[in-house]
Amino acid sequence: MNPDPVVRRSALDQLCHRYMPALRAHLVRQKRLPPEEADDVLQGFITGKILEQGILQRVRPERGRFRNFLLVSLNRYLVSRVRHDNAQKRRANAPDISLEPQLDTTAPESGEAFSMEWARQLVADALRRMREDCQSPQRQSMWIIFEQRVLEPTLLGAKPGDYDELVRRFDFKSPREAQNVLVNAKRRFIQCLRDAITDYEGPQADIDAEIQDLQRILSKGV
Amino acid sequence: MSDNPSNLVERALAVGNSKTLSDLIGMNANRPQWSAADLSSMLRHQLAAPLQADLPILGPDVLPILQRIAVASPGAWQIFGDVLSGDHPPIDLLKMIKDYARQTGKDQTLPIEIATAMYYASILAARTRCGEKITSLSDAALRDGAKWMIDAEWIDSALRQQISRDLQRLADVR
Repeated sequence: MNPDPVVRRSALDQLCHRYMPALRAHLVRQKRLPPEEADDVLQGFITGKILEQGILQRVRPERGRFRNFLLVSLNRYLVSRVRHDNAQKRRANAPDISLEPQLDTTAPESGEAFSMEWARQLVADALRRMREDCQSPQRQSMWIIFEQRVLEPTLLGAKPGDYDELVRRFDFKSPREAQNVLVNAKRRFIQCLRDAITDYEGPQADIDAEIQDLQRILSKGV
Repeated sequence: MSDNPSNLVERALAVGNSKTLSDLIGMNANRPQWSAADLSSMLRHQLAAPLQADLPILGPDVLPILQRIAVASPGAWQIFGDVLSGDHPPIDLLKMIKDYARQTGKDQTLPIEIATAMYYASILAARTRCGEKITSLSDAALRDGAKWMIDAEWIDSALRQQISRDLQRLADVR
């Protein structure tokens, strides 16, 4: 990790922005913590583990995916936090109103909620990138055609915008022009997805393997 | 621009499930899906497209040929439809349309259905209306291609009738 505190702060902000929704989903859906409790745990994880102990410096790409490292670290933090809370209560002989009764220790450690949220975030991020990429007047048609022909039909089951309408709207001179825009739009989305994966998992990530994993996770359905 | 992408993803998950996101990632980027109605419109559009606009993708030799034909037959043979439905179209134009269909089908810059229809229509026109073979394709294979076009629901009636007539002529030239 970069020793410059400003750079570190920026990297941490990005990390929080990208992974916190997935980590929070893991705590709420998998570990069955109440949302406010999950927020406290996450805050403690960021402060104690990431900022004070600097666990991100221990990330070794060759030892696996970054998101798995984060999830394992969070799970370990959660266990140590529960133990710590319980020990404190035993010392104070306090009534048991701790995290422990609400913590579902029987929940599997697979991190399915985390992975699903991560995958959703990633696809949304790729779409956001593409949309930003298509803000210029020259590229607006790319986004609109992608939205009408691909996005809404695939995600929402909407009827695809018909060819005649596209020709009227964008004044395509021949079908080749329309097909080109559509093919380029799809390729652009795939590139945005690859860029998003790189940002989440680092430049060393095996992008094709990540895309396969993403499909596997999402194909399970919610 | 309409919807925020994140909202769209949320809406997709609300009405369906994440499987649709998986479908989005797994789409074939090079092979857009068009409905029969779209293909019908695209073919009509392609037949109405000026040769001067599309054929130059074949290379620099095309424009001089187009210019020569334009000088020889002013006002005629300007769009794809003129050539594919004309009684005695210039053979050079039919060859160029065949090459154009093959190239756009191969690099998928046209839907494969449209490119294939243009391919068979140009060869059939050359064979039956100009008496020339512009391909090594056998007549039997050409007949199969013509029948495929006649059966395709998205081929418009004018072109279907033209292909039927060509198919009949093909039987006569055997």
